[in-house]
Amino acid sequence: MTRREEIRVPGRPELSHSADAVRADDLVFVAGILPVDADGRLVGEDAVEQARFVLDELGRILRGAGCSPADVVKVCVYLTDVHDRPSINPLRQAFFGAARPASTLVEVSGLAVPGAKVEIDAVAAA
Amino acid sequence: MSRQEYHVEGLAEPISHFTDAVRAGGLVYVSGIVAVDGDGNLVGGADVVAQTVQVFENMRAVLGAAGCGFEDVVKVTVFLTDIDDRPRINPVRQEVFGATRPASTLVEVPRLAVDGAKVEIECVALVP
Repeated sequence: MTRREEIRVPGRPELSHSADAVRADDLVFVAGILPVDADGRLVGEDAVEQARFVLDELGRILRGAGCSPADVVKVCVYLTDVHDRPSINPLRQAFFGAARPASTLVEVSGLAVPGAKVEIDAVAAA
Repeated sequence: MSRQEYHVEGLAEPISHFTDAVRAGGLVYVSGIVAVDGDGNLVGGADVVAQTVQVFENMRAVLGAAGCGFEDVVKVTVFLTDIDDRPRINPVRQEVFGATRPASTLVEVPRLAVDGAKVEIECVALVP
């Protein structure tokens, strides 16, 4: 088994010098996911729509790495307005189901794409 | 699982209760690095590109101490005080990582721990 494998999922934007995820031995590190489509255009008007898209993308990337949401061990959520936390929580519950990853959530002053309100990265067990 | 702390000779003393990197099993977790010299003085002035070059020089030393190079990095997290600096530092990242593409997160934060620092970068690497 290759110890380090860069994972790319079709339809993902090319925002910086990054893979969508990298597997390292038995862990998968998922890059920060922004609410943008394959052409780098913002998706979603508000934090809820954006978070729904980001979690869908997280699911796609995890599948691309042979994982599922239940395999996530750590998630980090970056919000431009920490008050959006309660409104996106139901989406997280729906995404992870019975699984409860370790989680960090912070407010940041800006994200790489103007208008983006949420970015999520994660570590999963391969 | 084994745990080993790395403190690199010649780099500034960590400004808080942490060390330069910690290895856990086959992975090395590198602390957030800002553009300081061995005495802890900011390098690069207000030039975010010069700061980023210094950050990666320090990172090279930390990774090297753990037996790693940039090609072993699996995740990188970049904290900028001005998100508009992202295009400016991207060429530095491309030069440093070359064909390697770590998973990456980049966010803007209001301030960093060292006065004048415009960029901080942490990473996780796989020990070859």
